[in-house]
Amino acid sequence: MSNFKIYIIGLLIIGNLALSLGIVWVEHLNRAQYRKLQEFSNQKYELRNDWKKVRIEEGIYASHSRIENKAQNLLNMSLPKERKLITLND
Amino acid sequence: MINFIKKIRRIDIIAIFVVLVISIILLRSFNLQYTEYDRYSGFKERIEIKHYPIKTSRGSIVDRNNNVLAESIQMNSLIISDTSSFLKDNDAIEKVKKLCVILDMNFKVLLRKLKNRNYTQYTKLKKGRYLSSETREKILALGIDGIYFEKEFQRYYPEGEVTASLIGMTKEGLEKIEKNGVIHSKSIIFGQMGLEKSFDEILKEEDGEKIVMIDKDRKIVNQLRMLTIPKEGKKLTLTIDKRLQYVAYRELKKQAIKVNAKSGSVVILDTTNGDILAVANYPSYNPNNRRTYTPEGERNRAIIDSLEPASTIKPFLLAAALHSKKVKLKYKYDTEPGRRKIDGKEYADTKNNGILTAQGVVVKSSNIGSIMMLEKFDNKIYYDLLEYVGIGEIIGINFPSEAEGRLDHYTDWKKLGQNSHAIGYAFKTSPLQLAKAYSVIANEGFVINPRIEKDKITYKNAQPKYKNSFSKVKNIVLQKVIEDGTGKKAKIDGYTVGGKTGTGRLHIKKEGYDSKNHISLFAGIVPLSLPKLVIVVVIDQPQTKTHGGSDIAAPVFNKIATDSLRILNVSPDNISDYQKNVLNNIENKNNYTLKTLEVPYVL
Repeated sequence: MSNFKIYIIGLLIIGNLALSLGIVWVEHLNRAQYRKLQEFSNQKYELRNDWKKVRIEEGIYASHSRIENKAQNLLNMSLPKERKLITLND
Repeated sequence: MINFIKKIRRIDIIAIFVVLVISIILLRSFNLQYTEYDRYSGFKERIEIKHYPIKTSRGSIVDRNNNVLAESIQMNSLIISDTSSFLKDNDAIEKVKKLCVILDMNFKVLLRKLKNRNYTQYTKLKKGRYLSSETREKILALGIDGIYFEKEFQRYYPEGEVTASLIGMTKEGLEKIEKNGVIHSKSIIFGQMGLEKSFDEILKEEDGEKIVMIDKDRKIVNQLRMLTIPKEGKKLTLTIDKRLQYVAYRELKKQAIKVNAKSGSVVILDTTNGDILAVANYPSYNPNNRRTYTPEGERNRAIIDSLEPASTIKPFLLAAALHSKKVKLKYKYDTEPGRRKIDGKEYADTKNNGILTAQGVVVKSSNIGSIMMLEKFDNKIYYDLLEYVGIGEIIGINFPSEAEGRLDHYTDWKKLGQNSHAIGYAFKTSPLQLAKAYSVIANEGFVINPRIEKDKITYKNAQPKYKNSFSKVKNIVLQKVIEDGTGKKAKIDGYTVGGKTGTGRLHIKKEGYDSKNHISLFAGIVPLSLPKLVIVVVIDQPQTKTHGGSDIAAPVFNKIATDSLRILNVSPDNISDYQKNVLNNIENKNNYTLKTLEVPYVL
């Protein structure tokens, strides 16, 4: 067997090993990234849920009954009578 | 022997060693591949590959301004998964007692609850909606065995009892699905009543499932296959205006309690596009707390109940009479003495109105005058008009058990009582249908079908029918009812109002009409010069001395309309003289200041 052939075989073996390790490495990277993606999508989900809660909370705080109650009882506000209203035309 | 040992070379030892190792490997391989095949086949799949459910939420319901009316939120419910470890020793019991203090529960009640369920493996201890994140932290800190927090969706209705009868509720149930010939039952949430039920197909979510690979920390590291794609429930946008809905419910409830009424309903319709802005019903219940539920509270009377419209139908009778060209507004009817026997039955007005014009018959709401008017023209014309405005015809807004109403063919009227038809009896309509009919008057003959979904295209006819008749009824008669007639209490400062009161006797099956119990109605259009809203108010069986629509229902209309017009920014069309004077003064003042004001030139 010539030296050339021995080199080629050696190179192939090394290449093969490197490639195998590369595959394992990329697979590891892939899994790590997917795990991260999963964490982010969970986070997104949680945030969306929080957003829904905040929207409901906003609805409760901005509800007509609450505002009306506060305006009348806390600030002593009332609707003006018609004779006190001045209507400006557009 | 020594010679033999000396003869063995080092290479031979290595060769023997290598052969031994290879034999061991081959033996082990054989062992794994054949002897222990059953144990190890699919081992990797079992520990690393899992079916993973993807949960999605039911669609939300929002009002026309995108305010939430129903929403699903993920919550963490407290579950007892293993009762034996939950109460295994004294130490565990002490912890559970502490848990009871946090949850504000009685320990004995908890034990009874578990016993009643035969100590099953799965018991929901507390629903997520009652657990704050702080409470959750406290419970986790106790370190109790056999409990965990399960994620699940719960439906919230921020408007509570205000929208309860319209939106309805959802229910948890089991759905049976066949998979590979095996029937599995799956927990699902479905609409039980109201719009939640009728729009279930749109709102319904579909959970997905995927096959994933997990690592030693049980975290997903790879998705191998998607088995079912999850579908999130779609959003449903209603035409309801949350603010108007609240105003309608508030005023209805206030009046119903005041007059000790059995029930009541209000419908607010936008006449320009058929949008249903509010549908309020009393009594109601809080859908966030199932204990307050009653079948009475669930009933959406405005949509599913049919009632006899009584005097509120008289404007349509007059419109038909005018259309027949056999009656004119100034024609006179002698209703003296306010009580008369016609075809063997006695009919009465609330008082003796004497001689009334055709217009006066509606303004004073005379039953005798109405019966005399219908005698003057063909029943077919009246029937056609009632059919045209949608009496006795289902609207089709997609609500469960929507009322159809009832309108018999005019050829049968003689048998059923023609006179009853003249005064709004013998046929039935729901408050929503009545609102639609009044919107036809408001639009002077155009029919716009009411809608509850904002994106739905609604029907509107191209050519109006009965235009002249409706125009006269709207602009002359209905306004007169408010100014001089029975609807004085519906008058609104700053706006022109048109409407009609009604007082119906309660019809009880087999027993006939009840002389003690009444239904008070009011249907109105506002502002009359450029109609925007039609409001129908129905108060069922008020327990007061006066039970007429003019005293019971008209004031409710007044309050609801005043607030609604302000909320919707509708310009007043009937500014009083006082206001005009104030305006003139302001204008004069401005003119004065503008003329005399000298602006100094500043560098």
